Amino acid sequence: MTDTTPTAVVGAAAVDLSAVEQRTIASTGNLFVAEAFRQIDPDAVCAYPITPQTTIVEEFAKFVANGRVHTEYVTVESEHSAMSATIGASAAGGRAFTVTSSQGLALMWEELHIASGLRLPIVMINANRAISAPINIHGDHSDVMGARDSGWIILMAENAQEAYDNTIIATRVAEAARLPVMPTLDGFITTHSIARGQVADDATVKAFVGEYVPDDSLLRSTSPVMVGAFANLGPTYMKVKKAERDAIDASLPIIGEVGAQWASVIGRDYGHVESYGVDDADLVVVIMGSAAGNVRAVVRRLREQGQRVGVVKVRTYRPFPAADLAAAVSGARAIAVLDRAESFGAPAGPLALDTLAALYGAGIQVPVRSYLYGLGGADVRLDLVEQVYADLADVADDGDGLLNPTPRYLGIR
Amino acid sequence: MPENNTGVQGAQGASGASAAPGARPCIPTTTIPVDFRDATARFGDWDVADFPVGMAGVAGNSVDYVTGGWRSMRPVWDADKCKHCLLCWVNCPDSSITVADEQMTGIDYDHCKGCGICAVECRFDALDMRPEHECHDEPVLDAAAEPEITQGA
Ligand code: SF4
Ligand code: SF4
Repeated sequence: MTDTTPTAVVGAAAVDLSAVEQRTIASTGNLFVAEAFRQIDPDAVCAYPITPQTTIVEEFAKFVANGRVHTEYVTVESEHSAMSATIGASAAGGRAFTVTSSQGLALMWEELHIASGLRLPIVMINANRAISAPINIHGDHSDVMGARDSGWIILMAENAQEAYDNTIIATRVAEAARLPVMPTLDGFITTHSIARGQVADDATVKAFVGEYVPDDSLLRSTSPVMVGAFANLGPTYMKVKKAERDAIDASLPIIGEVGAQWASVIGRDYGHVESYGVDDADLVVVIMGSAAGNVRAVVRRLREQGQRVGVVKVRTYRPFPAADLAAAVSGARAIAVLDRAESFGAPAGPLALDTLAALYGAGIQVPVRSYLYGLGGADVRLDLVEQVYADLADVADDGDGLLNPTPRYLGIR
Repeated sequence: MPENNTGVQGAQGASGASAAPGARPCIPTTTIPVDFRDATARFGDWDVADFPVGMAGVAGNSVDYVTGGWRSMRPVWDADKCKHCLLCWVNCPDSSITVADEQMTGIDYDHCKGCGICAVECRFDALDMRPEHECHDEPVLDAAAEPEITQGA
C-alpha cells in the first residue's frame, strides 16, 4: 500500500536484466553489507571499528588486503576522523563510504551536518545500538535518532536482505539526490545473526550503481572548487539550508524510483512503508527495524483467530514518508507506535511524533498510543506484542484520549 | 543562476529526466560553482535555487581575502642571511612564503598568521619573530593620551 509513483527523477540503471544471476547465501547482516561494499567497490572507505559494525570493516579490510577491490582504505583513530576523512574523499570527487555505530555516530555529530550541508553523496552504514550511559552494546535506535535531524537520508533495514539491498540503493540515491545516506541495520539482531538472503552477481551491481562522475570536485585540476564557504551575513545561510530542505524532500521520489529499479532487477519490492494485514485492520502497529518481523508473526496469529489487526513497517525514515504512512493506516480505529529510542521529555517516542504529524496532516483523528520497546537490546517477546494489540482493542472501544500522556515502556512496570 | 555571475564553469548533471541510461543525473539544482570574488555576484539577492549545490565556489578566492589581521608576532626576513633552501616555504601552513624562480622573495603578510613555524624551521637565522606592534610605522597608542574613563553619570 505504498504511494511510490516513479516520476523519472533518476536515469535508468544500465543493467542487462537477462544476465542477472542471484545466489542464495547464509550469512550475518554485516557480511551481507560487506559483500555489497565489495561489489560497489567505492573509491574510499575511511572507518574506525566499533561494535557491532566491526565485522563489516574487518571483512572489507580482507577484500582490500586480497586485492579484490580498488578502494583506498583509510584506517583512522576515531569516528570523528572517519567522517572527516570520508568528507574529504567525497569532496575530492570520490565515491566515499564509511561505517559506524552508537558512540561512534555520536562522535561524528558535527561532521554529519557538514557532510549534508556540503551536499556530499556519502554512504554510511550504521549498526543501530544503544547509547551510554549505562553502557550497552546491543541493538536499539538511540544512536540513529541522534542523527535524525542532521540532513541525512535514513533507511531502516528489517533484516540482512534489506541491509544488502539498501546499501546498493543508497549508492545511487546519494549521488542522484546529492545528499549523504545512512542505511542502518539493528545491532546484533541483524548484524550478527546468520540469515538467508540473496546477493546479485558482481556485474549486475556494478552496472546498477554505475560509475560515479562528480559534478564538481576539489581535485579536478581544470576547474577545482572551493567547499565550505562562509555564509554569515544576511539570509544566505537560511537560503542554503532551504535548498537542503528542498533536496531531502525531493529525495523521497528518488528513493522510490531507485528502489523500484532495484526491485525490477532482483524481484524484491522497495516501499517507503511496508504494510501487512492493514487493509481491513482496526488495530495497527507502526514500527521500524528488525522487530517488525515479531509484530508480523503476532499479526498472522491474531488474524488466524479472526482479529482485524495489521502492522506498518517504516523503511524510509528520513525523509519521512508521511503520505504513504497516513494512507497505510487510514482505516485504523486505534494505532500503536513502537519506538526503539527515547526522545526524553517529548510527548511521545520519535517515530510516534512523526506518525502523529502524518496523521494530523492527513486529517486522521484516531487514538495513538506511544510505546518504547527493546531498549539496549531488550527482548521483544511475542506476548508483549500481543499485549499491545489487547491494549489497542480497549483504546478503540472506550477511546480514552487521543494520545497517552507519556510513552509506555513495553514489558517494564 | 543570475547572468551577471562570471567565473562559471562546467555545468553538468542537472539534466534530470532526460538522462541517458547509465548516466548519473542530479536533482534540478544548479551545480555551477560560484566565483565569490566576483563583486557583481550578488548572492545575497539570489533565490534558493540559484545557489550551487552545497554552496561550492570557484577555488582560490582566499587570495583576495585578508586573513593576516589577527597576527600578533611577525616573521621578519633577513634577505642577506637567507640561503633560499625553501624549508620555510615547505613548512608554512598558510602558503605565505612568496617565491619566484626558486628564490624566496618575502612574506605575504596579508595571509601570514604569525605562527612562527618558518622561523623555527629556518637553519640560517634568516627569520626573526618580532612583536607586531614593533613593526608598525604608526606609534602604538600612548596610554597617557587615552581619554579618562569615568563611571556613572
Ligand atoms: S628557511 Fe631560512 S634560509 Fe631557507 S629559504 Fe626560508 S628564510 Fe631562507
Ligand atoms: S609565521 Fe607561520 S604563517 Fe607566517 S610565514 Fe611563517 S610559517 Fe607562514
